[in-house]
Amino acid sequence: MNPVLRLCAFQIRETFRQPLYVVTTLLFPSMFFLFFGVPNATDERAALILISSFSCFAVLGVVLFQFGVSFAQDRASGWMLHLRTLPVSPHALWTAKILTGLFFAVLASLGVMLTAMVSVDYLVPNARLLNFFLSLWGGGFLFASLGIIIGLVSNPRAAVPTANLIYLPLSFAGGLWLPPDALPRLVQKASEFLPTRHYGELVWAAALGEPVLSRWWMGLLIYQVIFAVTAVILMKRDEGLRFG
Amino acid sequence: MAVRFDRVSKKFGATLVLNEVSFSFAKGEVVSLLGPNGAGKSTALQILLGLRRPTTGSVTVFGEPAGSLAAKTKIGVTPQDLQFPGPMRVREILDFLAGFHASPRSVPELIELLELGTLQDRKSGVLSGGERRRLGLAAALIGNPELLVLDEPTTGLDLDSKKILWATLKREVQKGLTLLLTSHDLQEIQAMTDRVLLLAKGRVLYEGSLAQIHERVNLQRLRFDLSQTIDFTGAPPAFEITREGLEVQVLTEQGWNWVRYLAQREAPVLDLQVADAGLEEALDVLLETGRA
Repeated sequence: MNPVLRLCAFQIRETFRQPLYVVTTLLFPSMFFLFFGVPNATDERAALILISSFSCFAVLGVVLFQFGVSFAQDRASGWMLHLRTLPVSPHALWTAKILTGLFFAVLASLGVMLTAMVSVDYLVPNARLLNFFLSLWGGGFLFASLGIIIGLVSNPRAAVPTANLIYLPLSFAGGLWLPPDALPRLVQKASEFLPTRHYGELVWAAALGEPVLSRWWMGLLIYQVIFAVTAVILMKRDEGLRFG
Repeated sequence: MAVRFDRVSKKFGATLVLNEVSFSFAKGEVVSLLGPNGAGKSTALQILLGLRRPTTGSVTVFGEPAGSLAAKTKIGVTPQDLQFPGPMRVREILDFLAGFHASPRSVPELIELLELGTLQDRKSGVLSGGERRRLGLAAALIGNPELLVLDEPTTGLDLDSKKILWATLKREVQKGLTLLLTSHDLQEIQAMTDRVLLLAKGRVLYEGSLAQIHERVNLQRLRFDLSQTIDFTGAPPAFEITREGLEVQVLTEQGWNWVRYLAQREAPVLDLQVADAGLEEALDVLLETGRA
């Protein structure tokens, strides 16, 4: 088996054996959708926006925690060091880590979709599904760089609170829990500059079949370039410090 | 040559951790890398394993540059800080690691060799320190390595696990495995070591066999009780004299001169014992006197 796939399979199995992770990261978004999304999904537009918002929330949670927390833990772990002594390139280890994170992000968002299928009368129409998933996963995966930044600047103990300090306010202020126009006025203003708002707008438009304003996707792109460049610089610095 | 360090230096910022270190050892040798804390042992091991790059100089493992995939295929390692993913079972971990090697050893064989049979379905997170070390050794051997690097292999081990570990290593060495050890328990490694490399302040202070160390430092430890306190004015040289009440211990290279001295002074000595000092004390003397 290809080393990357072998690593992915092992990490996926390991992750599934951590009930706390499965419940908090994979099931919470679906549960939140059930408790707070479903009662407000009274018409098609509201339902599609809520499905999109909670799907974004699910993807965001996984990428921030899977990358942030697990990267921080790996850096301090003897196991990761042991893997570095194996005849496998460090790139394979990084790639497997990223692919595993993305796998769980897909799974968490599918959980929200499945919950919506059994609890809401309106679903994203088939014709829009491809665009919806491309926006949801493509946009969300770009936040992996932000997760990697958290993992590289936090020690293992600080990684969870740090990820939460970023994840929860960004989700709320980005309009992933409440529609942006229901947010307090000041937050509404700030929301327009947040990457989660840009992400949400992209996915809402895809679900509703509406054109997305260029300011949203361009804003998201700029954020992602900043995150990616920062993550690469930090990764290189970390590699140099630990393995140079 | 199994391992060759050729004028290897390593700097961290302005700190020189290894200073033109050169040594080599052949296939099948058992070598102990010793030295006080901060001597550069860990850095030397990290460079050997490809976890760090030397600032200058080169390291090869069976002719392959350290850190290359070709070198990594020839090395098995148990790091000092040994951790496995807690939710994964012993057998799963070994199966997983075996998959990275071209000609791995059989997992059931290693499980039997290290007496892990009853533990193979247990999650690694619930293993005791000794059981984890045994799993670590199995993990190090899984790739059928030519060189095994064990960093403090007996730390935290219970007696049974120690026996299993040393018995396994002896068998593997007899089959031709090259072994590089670091340990603080010099008593233990004496039985297996062919050669000692003593590092201090980033340099190789001494390189040779254990017998050569004892030849170079012919150290004895005298133990005796006095019936009344005396001073040792004019006594032969000693590296260390310790008194606990009326009990005296002397670490010296002139054990029999000390016996003569005590006799000449008609010292009130009871129960005098003279014995060769251990490796640890001999190495301390080498370090202190720089006689290496």
